[in-house]
Amino acid sequence: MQNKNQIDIHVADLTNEMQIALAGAGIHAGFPSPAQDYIENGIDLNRELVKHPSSTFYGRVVGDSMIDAGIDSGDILVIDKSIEPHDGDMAVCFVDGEFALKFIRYKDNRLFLCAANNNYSDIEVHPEEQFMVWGVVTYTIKKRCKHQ
Amino acid sequence: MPFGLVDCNNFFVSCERVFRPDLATKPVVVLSNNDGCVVSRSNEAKQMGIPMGMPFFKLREFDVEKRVTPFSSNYTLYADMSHRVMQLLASEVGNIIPYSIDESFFAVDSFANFSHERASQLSAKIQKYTGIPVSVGVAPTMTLAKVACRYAKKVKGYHGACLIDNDVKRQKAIQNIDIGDVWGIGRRNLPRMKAMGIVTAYDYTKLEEVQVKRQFGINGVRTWKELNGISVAKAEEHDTKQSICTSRSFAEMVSTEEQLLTHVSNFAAQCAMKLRQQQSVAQAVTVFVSSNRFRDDMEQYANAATTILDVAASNTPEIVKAAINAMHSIYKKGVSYKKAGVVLSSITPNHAVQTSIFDTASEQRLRNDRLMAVVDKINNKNGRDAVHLASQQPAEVNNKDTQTSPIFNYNLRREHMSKCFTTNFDEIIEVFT
Repeated sequence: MQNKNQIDIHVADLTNEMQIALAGAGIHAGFPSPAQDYIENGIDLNRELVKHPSSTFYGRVVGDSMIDAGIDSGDILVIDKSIEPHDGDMAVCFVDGEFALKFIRYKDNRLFLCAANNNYSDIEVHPEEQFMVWGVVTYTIKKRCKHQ
Repeated sequence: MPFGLVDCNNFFVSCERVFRPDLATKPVVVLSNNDGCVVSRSNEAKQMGIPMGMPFFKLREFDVEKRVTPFSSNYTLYADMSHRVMQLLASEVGNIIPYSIDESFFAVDSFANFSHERASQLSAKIQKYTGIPVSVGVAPTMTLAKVACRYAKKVKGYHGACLIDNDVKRQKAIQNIDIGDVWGIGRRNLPRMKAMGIVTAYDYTKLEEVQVKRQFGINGVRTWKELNGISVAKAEEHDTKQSICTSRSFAEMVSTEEQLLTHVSNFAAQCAMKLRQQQSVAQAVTVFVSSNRFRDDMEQYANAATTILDVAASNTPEIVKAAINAMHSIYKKGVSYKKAGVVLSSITPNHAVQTSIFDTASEQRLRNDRLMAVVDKINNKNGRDAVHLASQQPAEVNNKDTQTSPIFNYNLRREHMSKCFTTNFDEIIEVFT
């Protein structure tokens, strides 16, 4: 992408869906819909966003400590357990008996969990603590239209 | 050609622990339908002396709230986690032969291509990806692969994998396995074996074949050969007390969903009949499909899925319906299928079915059972499938309504039920920020 603000927009092919709806209403049983052959040309978000189906899980955000990263309560997380966490990754960690969303930071052989909200300070993880990176967040999904 | 086996460790408990990492080293049990009795135990629970099948009320003696965490069975979750394990395994090794909800065999070309390192990497990968710990056993026969898997599970230093890839290892392995723990050895044969002085699997292999045949019949000979390293178990029919399988390689490749449905319905109907013959009921119905792995020029695909019945059943309509359900979830368009199969597992004797006192459908089930008795009788007389379900023929199958049928909706007690973290969008994990 050359321009900073350029967004690639993939147009969802709604015409196919329209055709199916019409076919369903107008043609009676036993006649295959001619639109069926085109269904696979649509964009399947499962295929695009889920590289590893067997290791992908979903989570829902609760809390405000990641608001500066644009993540609010109610947002959906796509979590992949198969990915090795790297410095800077957003990850679902298991700390103090619950799932917590944090940025992973490695500094001088020390591991920190960082929030994205000035009211929260970084937490250093000590080796003796019960802690695990449960999975790395690959995508976040936010509902934008509030009146739907 | 050697066989591999992947076996999920304490499967139901492990599924719960994926979403409760705090319980990773704590005693955990999963209860049967209606919170009846213990059906899965963590190693810690085993060490506490909690036996399999212990009624839940007795578990209270172990000071449940403080020491043991019980879960009601969440079969929706287990079926999805099973699917993840099978799917990953299929993508790693190609041809899989599921044996139950938490076990699957797979074909290995040769030991040269499948080192201990490869096996333990496979185990580690499945655990990392799905969160489910598994053991991998590889050996010249299916029965020995089962033996290898036991070692993979028990011996920590093996890193989740064990290979029996030469005769020295084979002999050593079977010397340390009780004959009663060998796959395919019926419990009713044990007293006779004991009287004959057979304690280990090794003792059994040292008998003469004629003697084995006379004493333990054709099945006894099969196991004897398998333990001696001669593969005889057919992947197509590995019916035992724990699992019933019907599968087939197709003469011609199958690509339409309709055709595949017909085959799967037939396999499921056959499984259900075998199940009734042994007076049992099954709770898990697994379907697996695979493409022709010898045709590199065509799209390669293998997958398996499991449907869990609310209440264990043996009647053909319910079993077939569950199989069709599972098949729908794994059918991929454009693939030419070479093989498919149905496996029934979580099998119990039909007099021990766990139902609810609020079970409004029991009358329906009784009626169904009577119907099945008549169908079996007719088919015995007039040939298999003289009477059959419509879906066993290439007819249109209504797949919309197979998810839940009001007739088979039971009110079960599930006081310790976890959420359907992976199948219900309203129940996904909450992540705190």
